[in-house]
Amino acid sequence: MTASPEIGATREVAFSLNGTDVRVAIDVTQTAFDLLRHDFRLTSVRSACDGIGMCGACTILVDGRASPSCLMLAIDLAGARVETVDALAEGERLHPLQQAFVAKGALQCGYCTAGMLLAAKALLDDTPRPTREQIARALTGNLCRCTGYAKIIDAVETAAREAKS
Amino acid sequence: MDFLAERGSDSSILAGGMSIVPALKRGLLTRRFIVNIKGIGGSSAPVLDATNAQLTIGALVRHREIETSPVIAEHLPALRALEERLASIQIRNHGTLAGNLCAAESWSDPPCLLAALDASLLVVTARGERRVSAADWILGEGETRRQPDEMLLRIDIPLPAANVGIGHARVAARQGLARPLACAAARMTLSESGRVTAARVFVGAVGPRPQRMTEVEAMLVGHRPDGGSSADIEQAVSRVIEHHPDERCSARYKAQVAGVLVSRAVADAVAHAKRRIAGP
Repeated sequence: MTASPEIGATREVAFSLNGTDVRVAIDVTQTAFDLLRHDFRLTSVRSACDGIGMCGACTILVDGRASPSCLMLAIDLAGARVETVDALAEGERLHPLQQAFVAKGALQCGYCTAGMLLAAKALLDDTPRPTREQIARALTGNLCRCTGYAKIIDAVETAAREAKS
Repeated sequence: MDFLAERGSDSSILAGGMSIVPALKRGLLTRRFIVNIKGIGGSSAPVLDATNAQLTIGALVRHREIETSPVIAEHLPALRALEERLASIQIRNHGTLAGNLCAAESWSDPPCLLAALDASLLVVTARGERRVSAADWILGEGETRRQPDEMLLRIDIPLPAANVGIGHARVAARQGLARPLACAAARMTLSESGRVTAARVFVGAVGPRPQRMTEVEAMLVGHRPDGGSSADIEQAVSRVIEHHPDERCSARYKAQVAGVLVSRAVADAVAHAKRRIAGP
């Protein structure tokens, strides 16, 4: 067990962010969400529930796992592989999940989409051919107030099928 | 542990952070230090301790590791089923079961099931260690038997014997990402002739802590559990249940639902025990 410095102290953390090694000074009580959205200006990391882990808009991948950046301390990203939706496309070429979201009309306002895509990616990396039930379960932590979810589940199903064929 | 011995009353322990981080951000964390225990080591997954006939879940074991653990799937399917429905995958990927017990939120599923499973909590300090029963751990909303210099190191769950079944039931507003309005858990032991020889029955999320339904247990022990008793169980539960104010629904609704859930948990536990006695 290590005694952390007092609240208000700063530390330096190094981690991989969307494939690039970064090193940054952080406040030890700063959240991962604040670090990514405000310091790194990754505005795809969003907040709809004001930091209580109920909306999924701030979802990031930490070592491949869907993670609630608003409930994590920035210091706990140390040494991790962190990905936001910005890492999904290869240049102009959209990721298969992104293509399926477009093709199936799985977004309207788009505010939840980045989190949805990352939660879906974590699922497909782990379970390449999920059932609709498994897709719905994996997206439980991601709220959408526009689509009614059916088209989102369709899109994830389509992406999984097309990745296979 | 030395730091906690000295500054424990001015410290919060952080494992997964799922309760501490939002409190910190909202300025609700009044203590001066955060003791991050992510570096204490220990197994990151549940471990089968065959020598002591128990499953042990260390302080840093995340919900997701319990949900996907082969030993939990084999020995405690009810705990696996609970974990699959807990919060969201994002939270299960980081939050720990030990942290859930220490946060002691009244509207939470795990404390009730762990009480019915007769889990034992190993609590350590610089001075030594002690054990607290999961059934006695939570005192009230956000309050546990943990002293400021103590840390919950491990949750030990006795392996259910071959004639024991476990049941758990819950009601929430939605299937996903919703705290239970009420939940119930039962551990039933049956004799070869199918009579109940022991029962542990708890209700959670209705009062500020899991409540043991001793009256229901007494009604069940010595009898054959099948048929006709669920109305009696429901009445007994609503007679003794203690309420915690809940803006989501009325106390009367909670009492009624708790009774139904106890009936279901008992029936599931009995069916599970019978399946296990019958063998594969």
